[in-house]
Amino acid sequence: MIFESTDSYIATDELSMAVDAAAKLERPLLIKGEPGTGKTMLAIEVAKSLGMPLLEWHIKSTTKAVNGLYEYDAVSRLRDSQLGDERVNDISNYIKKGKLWEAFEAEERVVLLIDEIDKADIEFPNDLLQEIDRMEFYVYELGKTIKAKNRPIVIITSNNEKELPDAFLRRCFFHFINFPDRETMQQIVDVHFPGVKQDMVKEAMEIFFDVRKVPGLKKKPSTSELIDWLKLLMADDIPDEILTNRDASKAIPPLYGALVKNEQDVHLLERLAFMNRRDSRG
Amino acid sequence: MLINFFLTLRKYKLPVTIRELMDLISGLQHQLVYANLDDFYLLSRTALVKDEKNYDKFDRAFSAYFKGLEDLHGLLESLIPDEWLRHEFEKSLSPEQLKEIESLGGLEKLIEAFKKAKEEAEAKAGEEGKDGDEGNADRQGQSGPGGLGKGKKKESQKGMG
Repeated sequence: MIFESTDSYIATDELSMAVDAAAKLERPLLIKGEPGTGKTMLAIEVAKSLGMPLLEWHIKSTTKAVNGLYEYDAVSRLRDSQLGDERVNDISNYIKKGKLWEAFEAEERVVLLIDEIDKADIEFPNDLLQEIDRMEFYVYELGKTIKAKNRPIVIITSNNEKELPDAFLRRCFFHFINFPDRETMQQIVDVHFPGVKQDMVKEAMEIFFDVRKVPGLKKKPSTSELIDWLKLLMADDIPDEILTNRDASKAIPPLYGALVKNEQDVHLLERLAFMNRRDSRG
Repeated sequence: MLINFFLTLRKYKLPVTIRELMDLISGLQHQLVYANLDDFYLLSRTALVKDEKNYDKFDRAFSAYFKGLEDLHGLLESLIPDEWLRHEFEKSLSPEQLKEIESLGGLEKLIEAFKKAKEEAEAKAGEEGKDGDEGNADRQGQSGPGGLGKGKKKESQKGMG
């Protein structure tokens, strides 16, 4: 059971290790990190890559720990009793299973996501200690204990809006998702927008050369505007030493490979380069 | 794409996240902006800055980043091999002109000759000192590219129209 980067999610080595450890040792995994670093996505991807069903429990400020176990619908029962419904005799008709119950009861091992645990009351994590630790809880109304058939992989995310109690933290594994470095970011963008740069370069040049019409385009850009635009699109491909030296005339490997996909694009780029040279000299 | 831009914003202590960067890229993909840096400024600010107190920081980061890009004059040229330009140039000539070039010993030789003439003219202009400006004006006329360029301009307008 190894969790690795998928074609839609980039996981660092540390993260893979944390997930594997949590899965093997059956501990909840607490994930923190800056907004937008993919905490919630992690659970979705873990489920996908390990081929397990995913149960999501999104926490709000009003969520109580007991909501995750079960809810007893006393109002329905009262109404049914007044209407003389037969169902009223079996209390289990009025017990609504929560996400934890569902996860414990599942025939196969599942991934349980407890999303944004810090949104809830400070007592919320404490109220779940026993349940998470022993993977069982007692239902008073039915007088029975629900025990996990397969201990689920529990992934808990927090945005750090509130401190979590120590007793709870002791029982978890913890991983902080660092803000990704440049390389990882590049991978993330590539995964979500494959080939976006080449497509946009191609598109910009096609519009410029009237190959393609775009309705609502205010005005056709000038050559220099287009050149600036291409610079913006390809800025990441410019080696650092050129940016610092401010000297593009130094021999550098041509980057047009990063910009174009096929022969037609090359031809457009040729024309553009030629026009640019002519304009800048004229 | 735009990762250096994004990292520049973070360097200026703007609280931007990857999710917002993705929103921006997706906006570009939907052609909300095209080849216009003013529009790009507006779109990126809308997508990335969520508090008016950060506008100032954003403006500074933005201008710092684009100043860096602006300084890269001739970047595109240096990235594009010379033979491409030559190729495109040859296409803009009429068969007669091509023949003429051929009779003069081919494009390569002509370019060599131009370069030499230019160097000589520059050296001369340096000696002449005060008259340098005039010398320059003459040189452009002599060395040909100007004249040929004009011809190309007309052709290309026809072609594009």
